[in-house]
Formats: sequence, structure tokens, C-alpha cells
Amino acid sequence: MEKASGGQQRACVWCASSSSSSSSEPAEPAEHPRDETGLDDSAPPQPSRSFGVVITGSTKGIGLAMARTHLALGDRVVINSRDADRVQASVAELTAEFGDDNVSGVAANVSLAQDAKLLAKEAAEFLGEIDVWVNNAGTNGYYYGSLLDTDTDIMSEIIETNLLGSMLCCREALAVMRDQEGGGVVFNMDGAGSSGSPTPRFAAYGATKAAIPQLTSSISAELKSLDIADKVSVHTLSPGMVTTDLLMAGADTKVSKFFINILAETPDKPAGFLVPRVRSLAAEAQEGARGMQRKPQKSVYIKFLTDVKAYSAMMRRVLLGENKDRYVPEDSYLPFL
Amino acid sequence: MPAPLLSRASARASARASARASARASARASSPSSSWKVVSRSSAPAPAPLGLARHTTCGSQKTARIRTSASAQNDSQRQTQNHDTNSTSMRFIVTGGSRGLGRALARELVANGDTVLLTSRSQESATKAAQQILTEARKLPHYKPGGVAHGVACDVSCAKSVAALTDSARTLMDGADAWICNAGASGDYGWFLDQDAEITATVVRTNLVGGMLCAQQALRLFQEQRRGALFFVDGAGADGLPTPHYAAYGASKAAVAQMWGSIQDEAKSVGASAHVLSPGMILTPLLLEGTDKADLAPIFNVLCEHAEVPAAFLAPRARELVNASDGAYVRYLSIPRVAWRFVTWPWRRNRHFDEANGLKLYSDSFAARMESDTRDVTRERESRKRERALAYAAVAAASTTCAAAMVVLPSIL
Repeated sequence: MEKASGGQQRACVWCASSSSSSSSEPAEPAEHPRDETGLDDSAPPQPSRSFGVVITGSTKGIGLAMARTHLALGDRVVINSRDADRVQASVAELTAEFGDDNVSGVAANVSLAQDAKLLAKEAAEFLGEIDVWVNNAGTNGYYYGSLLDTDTDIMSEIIETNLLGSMLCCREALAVMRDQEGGGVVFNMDGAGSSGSPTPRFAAYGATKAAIPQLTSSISAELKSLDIADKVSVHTLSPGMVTTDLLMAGADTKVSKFFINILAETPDKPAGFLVPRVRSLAAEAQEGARGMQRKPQKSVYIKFLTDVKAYSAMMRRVLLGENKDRYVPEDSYLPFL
Repeated sequence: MPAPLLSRASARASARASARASARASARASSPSSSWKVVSRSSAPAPAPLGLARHTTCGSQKTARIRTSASAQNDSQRQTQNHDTNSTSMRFIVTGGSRGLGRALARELVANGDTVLLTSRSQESATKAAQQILTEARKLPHYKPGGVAHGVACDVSCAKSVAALTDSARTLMDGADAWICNAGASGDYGWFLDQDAEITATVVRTNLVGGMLCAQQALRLFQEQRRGALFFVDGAGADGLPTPHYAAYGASKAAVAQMWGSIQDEAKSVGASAHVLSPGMILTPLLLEGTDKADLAPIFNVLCEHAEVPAAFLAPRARELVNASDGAYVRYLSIPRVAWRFVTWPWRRNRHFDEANGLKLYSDSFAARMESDTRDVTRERESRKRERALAYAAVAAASTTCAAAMVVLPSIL
């Protein structure tokens, strides 16, 4: 196995690097051309081996985009969603593009223990070894508004899908991975609220996402105590604002339109940023598990939309009027604001 | 406002000894089902010491039975209460009030003369806790008569149950001034990887779904009243630090802390406020289970407390916050306090655990602890006064310095 990205080339370097440039460089192996996969220049060198990847909630949005990017980089992916029809449709679409052997689908509700177990079992059967597991399934009930008017069933659904689902899937994924020769990496998806900042129009979603980085750090600490941190590790992915149904359901106020136009990206952009980093972490875990580099893996927080990027985008918007009306028309009297 | 305060103070001073003595006697004499409490002292212009006033108003409209069963909702005798902001008696809902911090808070509030509606998952334990709290409250050194405790069964993770709790609060107390979302599940102490999925689900549902359902119902209730205060209770993990061995608990508490920020504006818009109570480290199974007492005894001795100690600190502050307009995060174990505790650690040695062998030195019974020593509770109870005195002293020192500077500086320049 080749040496994947070095330890120094971790989170901070990636986060600080810009991803806005779209010009592609032919530095990749010929079978994984960058322009096709939407990778940016800052991506770490990619391992040539193929990984077995499970992405929950991957029939649409960022999950689907990540699945696509993984497939384009030569990985094998298990698609998941609660809805069997959607799973079938997505699998059919991806199979047409990437071949039968590389894509499979499991309909499972991640907030149910037996479903999570089933997903892990079936994924392990299809993939052989689960190298990467992304806990992406999340919802905000497609509802933006006050807590007072929130339907209690939706509230429970949000919390159980986002937080309980991540917990159950983490457990199932780690249970499979710790017994694998090659170990594995698990990723939890953060979201608005993860920094602890208030999320008044989607309190339930924000609260669950605030719990995610804390959950990741707790599990990491336990893996270290269990002395299996060199084999399996848990990390957090931050896709930033993505123009998915979840976000666009909230594009109904001046402020939200303003920020969506400035900061949101189509799903392929963050996917192109996150997936190469996910893969190089997976390669590191493989090295750790196979005894080439036995040292505990540190938990990494991979952020697509860093504070620096967000503030600079805001400045460009305010000063230059950049990205005004990009996705949704803004009604404003001032030329730039 | 000053007049009733004065009269209350003098009445208390003269009646304190006799009131406590008679309170204990009546507690022993009366069976729980027939015991009673004066609810509204502020509106009773009793010239006699309070200990006697209790007897003279017995049976009048201002008394209420302890209603401990759901069927009591049908009771035609509705308690009448003064709800204005100057009322000294307040109405609290405390979820998860049958054990631990919730019980200690309820007890503290009852000892303050407040009406408390406490919940537990089973009606039996709620009823029992409500009865026991009334007796236990008398053991607190700052006990004031007049408190009432109701016990109602409620599963906070069930929307219908929480809605029914609001109805109980309307029936039993004619609303609520404050709602303390204390009910929490810790799960078992152990590896996250080995935890039963059912337990993980219970933790998330009780702590986070429960907190959110209670917050929603509380805000609806407060919206009708145009006032009220909502309190969350934080725990390990709320600061975002990892909580190995109880990962699910920590994550849910991290979520609750964030939720507090999210609902600030909404609480304000309905005329209420939302706060967090942080009890610090309490000697509970969650904290102690699976730890090496012999190794950690010095740390536990310095930092841990029995539930009644943070409750004595938090309850008066919670009462003050009932009419606050802005949300507050009330921390018992704040960083200066932690620092002070470590500075004074020699005085805290062998407090809870024997540092030589890790053996437990305290009693699990609240009554027994109060018999032996009430200093900790009294100190926390009085801490508000100390804080105020310190603040006044700081202001006085600052203004003196400024005045001195204004005199001295011109002469130098």
C-alpha cells in the first residue's frame, strides 16, 4: 500500500486551504480525473485502493453527492434511506453510471436499533469490509418556525434521526470495524448549531447538531481507553451550508436568503472537498490497523466552510455585491445589500 | 414592599423556635392524607406568630390539601392564590422530582413556602416523594411553613403525558410561575460500544426530547399567563467536553445547553424567560459508579456535594429569575468556586470519602445528614447575601478609588 497523506497534512492545512478555485490540475492518476469528481486543488493525494463506504441518508442532498464522489474515486458504496423506493431509484441511477458491483442499497431507519444493525450487517456482506461509515442521515422536518408551533412528532423524529440515529449507527459501525483486519473510520455530520450558536428557527435540529461534536469526542476518548484507537476512529465532517431541501425550506426571510446566497454551495462542492479527506483518513486507519503505523488516530474535524471563508464571503458580498440573488432572489432596495 | 417584608421578618424572628417545634410535632401527629399547609401567607394579615397563624387559618379557603393523585384534579376545592409578582409564594413544576437534584430542589422550594408540582414516571413514587418532601423540608434549617407539594405521574418523553402535566398544573396550582426541566436519564456507566440500544434511546428521549417537549408546553403555558420562567438543568458534557463512559448522556446535555440559546427570543416574545441551572458535581450513582474511590477520593471531597447543597444555592436564584426578562446560566460550581475549593482543600479532606481507603463517610439518608450537620446547606442558602455584600464592597471600593483619584490627580498634575 502506498503512503497516504502524511500526518502533518491534517485538518488545519485542509481547512485553511481555499476550495473556490475551479481550475483542475492533472495531478491525479488517470483513472480518477479530478474534473469529473469535482475535487479541488487542495485535496490531499488520494490512495489508489478502493474503500467500502456506507453513507446513511444518501438518496439525496449531500449524502448522494458524497456517494457519487466516492464512486468516481473508485470506491464501493452502500446507499441508505428510510424509503425503499428512493433507495431503489438512487441505486438504479448510480448503477447505470458506475456499474453493478460498486453500488448497493439498504432501506433502513437509522433511529431504530434493529434497522441500524441490519444496515451494518448487509453493508458488511456487500462490501466485505466497511472502511468508511458516514452518519449523514439527518432531518429538520423541513420546518422552520417557532418551537411553540412545532409538531411534537416531527420534533421526536428530528431528534431520533439526527442524534439517536448517529449514536446507534456509530455503535453498529464500530462494532463491525473493530473486528475487521483493516479497521475503519466513522464520520458524523455536523450542522447549524454545532458551534453552540443558537438556532432559533430550528431549535430541535440545532440541539441535535450541537450534540454531535461532543458525541464524537466522547466516543473517541472511549476508543482510546479501549486501546483500539489505532484501528477505528470517529471524526466529524462539516459540509457547511448546502443547497438541499433542508436548507432551502428556510429561505423565506430576508436574513436567511442573504446568507443562503452568500454561503450555500451546491452539494457537489462540499462533497468534492470532504470525500478526498475522508479517504485519506481511511487509508491512515488501514495503516494503523495493519500494524504499519500503530498509533492512536486523532479525531479530526473536517470543515468545508471555515469561519475565515464565511467571513471573507460576507465581506465580498457587502463590498462587491458578489453572489447576490445567486439561488433565491432577494428583495432589497440597496444595490449590494 | 418593605412593610410586609419587615413584618414577616419580625414575625419570623419571634416565632422561629416555636414554629419549628410545632411543625415537627404536627408532622409526627398528622397522617399524610390529612396533613395540610397554609398556602398564601402574604394575604393573611395574621398578627399572631406564624406558628399560630397556621392553626387559625386551618380549614379556610387559604388552605389546600396535598393533592397527590390524578383524581384530585376533579376536586372542586380550587386553591386560591395571589399570583402577582410580589407574592412570596410561587408555583413550580419540577419534572423528575422524586430523586436526586429534582427532589432536593422541590424540597428546598417547599421549605421556602412555595407550591411545587413534582413529577415522576410512576404515580406511586410521585405521591410518595410529595409526601416525604413535606416532612423532609422541615429538617432544613431555613424552613418556612406554607409549602405545598403535589405529585403527578409524567413521562417527559411522551408528548401527551407532558400536555397532561400542564393540565394538572392548571388544575392543581392554577398555572405555574416556573418550570424546571430536571427529569433526566443517565444511562448506565460503561462503554458506549457496549451500551444497550434501548438505554441509549431512553437517555436521548428523556433528556433531549423530554427537555424540548417540556420547553414547548411550558412556553405555551407561559404564553397564556404572559409570564413564567423555564429552567433547564445541565450536566457533564454541556460545555462540549468529552464524557467517556456516559457518551449518550453527555451528548444530550450538550444539546440541551444549545437549545437554551435557541429559545431565548421565543421565550421573550411570550413574556417569559429561559434559564439553565448547573448543579455541578453531585454525589450520585452516575458520578460515582465505576470510579476508583481510593484514587479519586481527594477530588470528590473537594468538588462533590450532596444534592441539597447545590439545591440550596440554586433554588433562591431560580426564584429571583422567575420575573427576569433575560435568560441566565446559573452555575453552582463556577470556575472561581472551583479555584477556591482547591485553594482550601485541606479543610475539605475526608469530607465524603476516606482518602486513605476510599470508604464512604456519609449517610445516604437526607434526614440523617441534616441531623449531623446543616452548615453546608445554610452556607449556600446565605451565599446570595455574601455575593451581594461583595458586589457592594466592590462598588464602594471602586467609587472611593475614583473619588480619591479625582481629588489627588489634579493636585499632582
